[in-house]
Amino acid sequence: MTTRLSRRDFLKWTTLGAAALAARPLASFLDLGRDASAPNVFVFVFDAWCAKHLQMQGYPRDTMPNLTRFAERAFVYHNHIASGSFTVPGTASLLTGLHPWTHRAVQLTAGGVAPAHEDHNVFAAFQKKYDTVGYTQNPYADIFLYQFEKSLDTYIPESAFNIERRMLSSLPIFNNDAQMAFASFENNIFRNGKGTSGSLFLGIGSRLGGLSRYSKLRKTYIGDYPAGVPIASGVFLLDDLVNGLSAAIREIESPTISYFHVYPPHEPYAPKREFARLFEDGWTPVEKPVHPLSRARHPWDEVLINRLRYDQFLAAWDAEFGRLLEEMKASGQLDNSVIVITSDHGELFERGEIGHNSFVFANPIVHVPLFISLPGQTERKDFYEFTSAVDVLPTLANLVGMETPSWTEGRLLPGLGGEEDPNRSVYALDAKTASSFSSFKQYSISVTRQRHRLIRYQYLDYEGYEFYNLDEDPEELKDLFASKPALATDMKNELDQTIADFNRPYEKKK
Amino acid sequence: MSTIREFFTNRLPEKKELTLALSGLAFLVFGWQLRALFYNFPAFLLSYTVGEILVIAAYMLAFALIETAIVMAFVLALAIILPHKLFAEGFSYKSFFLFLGLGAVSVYLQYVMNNQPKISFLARELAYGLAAWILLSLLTHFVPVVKKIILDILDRLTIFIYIYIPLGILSLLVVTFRLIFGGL
Repeated sequence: MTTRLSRRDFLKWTTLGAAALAARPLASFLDLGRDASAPNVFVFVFDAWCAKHLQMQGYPRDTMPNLTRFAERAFVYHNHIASGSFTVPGTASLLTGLHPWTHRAVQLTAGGVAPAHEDHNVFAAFQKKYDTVGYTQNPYADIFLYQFEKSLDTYIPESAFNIERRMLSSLPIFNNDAQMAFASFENNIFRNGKGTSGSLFLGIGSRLGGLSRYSKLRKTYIGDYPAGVPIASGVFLLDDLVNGLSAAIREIESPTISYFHVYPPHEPYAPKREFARLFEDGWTPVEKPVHPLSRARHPWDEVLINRLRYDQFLAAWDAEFGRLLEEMKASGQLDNSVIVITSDHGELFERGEIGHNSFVFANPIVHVPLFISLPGQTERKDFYEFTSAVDVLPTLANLVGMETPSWTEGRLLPGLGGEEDPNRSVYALDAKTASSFSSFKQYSISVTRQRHRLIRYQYLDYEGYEFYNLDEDPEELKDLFASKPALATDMKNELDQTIADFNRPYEKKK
Repeated sequence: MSTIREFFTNRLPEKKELTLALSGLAFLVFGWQLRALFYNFPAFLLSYTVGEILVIAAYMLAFALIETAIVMAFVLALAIILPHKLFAEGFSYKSFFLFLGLGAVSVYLQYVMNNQPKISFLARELAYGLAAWILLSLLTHFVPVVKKIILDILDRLTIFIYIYIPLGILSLLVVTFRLIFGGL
């Protein structure tokens, strides 16, 4: 059978084809009522960034001078609490405005949010009026971008700005099926962190190969990074990361909401040379007793060395990020956009723990910075009441004149549509060993209200409550729970009721 | 040509021995891969559709097939290179113990290894695995009852060849199709 195509047909089909290609973006722009004058929204998430390490929080080391300068033109939330103590629940709550027990992304190696909440995310909420851009350097957070893919106009692969693409799924052979290859290989067939690979023999080979490559790269860059080169899913350089972000931002056209989730200051803490000797000031923080739930039980001197490295890494990242802010200032983006800078969770350097892979739920593991800068803002505004990661999404929606999504569990941040409320209860939950499909039986959970924090630990080998007055005892050294103050009892009842409420739908019927 | 063929015929273990070794290997490799799949299954259910989970399973099983082939090729190379009495004779149980020893070392290392393992540490662990292999091989070689038990177990494991290998081939076809034609 032969097909005859006349010149007229050719022109007709070509025109129709071109029109069809243009139709989608055109329709999304015109029909959905996008307003080109609406401000861009940039959400920057620094992974594992603890608020306690900022000088404006009373920290003796000036770890982030550029951020401090940025804060002079921003709303600063001094007591902002992440919803989880590691990437999965922390990021999920930030992106969905839902508590971990609602979105159910709670496991250490878990995937995304519950199917019922797949469309409950910041990209879906903004998509009608905004273009959406998503990038995360953390593979665990990348799972959410995959899950919310249909609401993302531009997806930047997590290894885009790394110098080493360690992941098998980023090989050209998998180009046609990259996301399924990623889901299959990374953290399943091959696992580069803790835990075991699905591949019995080649898994360990892959891990040793990765370590060997890291060792070589470390030697290559030892001049610039004397304490080791930064690594997420693969090795990256801080300069490259900022250059990549800068290039991505230059491509953005109004109005766009961009989510940029970068790995620094997540471990391994790898300051550049010029920062690797900073803060050798002899200062030591208060030594706290090793917590019964500390599995690692790191010696105090090891904790101190890692804290110093973390501070140096913060300073190094601040310098690079400061460069990005300068570029945004020069292009006008800084003055014309809504800019959010926060973290998915904090970091611990106390009670025998280093990092955040811990069951210990001390304040630094959930206390994260939050800065929000509005277009044209020139003054700093400070807020000291407790706020939650779930508040960010509804606040952003409100800031750009959209309706607050009905499904979000957050409220408007004080100063940006909301009021300071000392009686508000702010929650954080770590249920990394729990099943997403059943009631949570083992967890660390905290509620913060009226300047007090109540923690409940519920594990097979340890359970109990801790209660702290954060005004008088910000280091959480004096557990007041045993003395049973009325507020502790009240907050305990509230916390226990909350747990019972979120577990009830998952309890097995007897 | 005939010289090369004769060389391999003489050096390679008997077909029965090969089958038993392959069954032991497939049991370990596919079993471990399936353990990982089921371990992550609850998380997958949250993130992916049933179809996507089946694709992930296909990737994992296809990879298990390739891994089985690679490791099998490795022990066959050993059988060809090493003196006949040392490895090709009693190939089934000697290979199986080698798989067990190396597999145990691999799993152990993945649990305990830090990010800067010393060569001496890795060598020590590998030596433990090889020592276990030699001890078990000697025990099986010199104690007929043990040999009978081990061969009986391997014989029963051959059922897994008929399950895992076709499953692996099917999975490999699925993955190949997706890599050529895309996720559709």
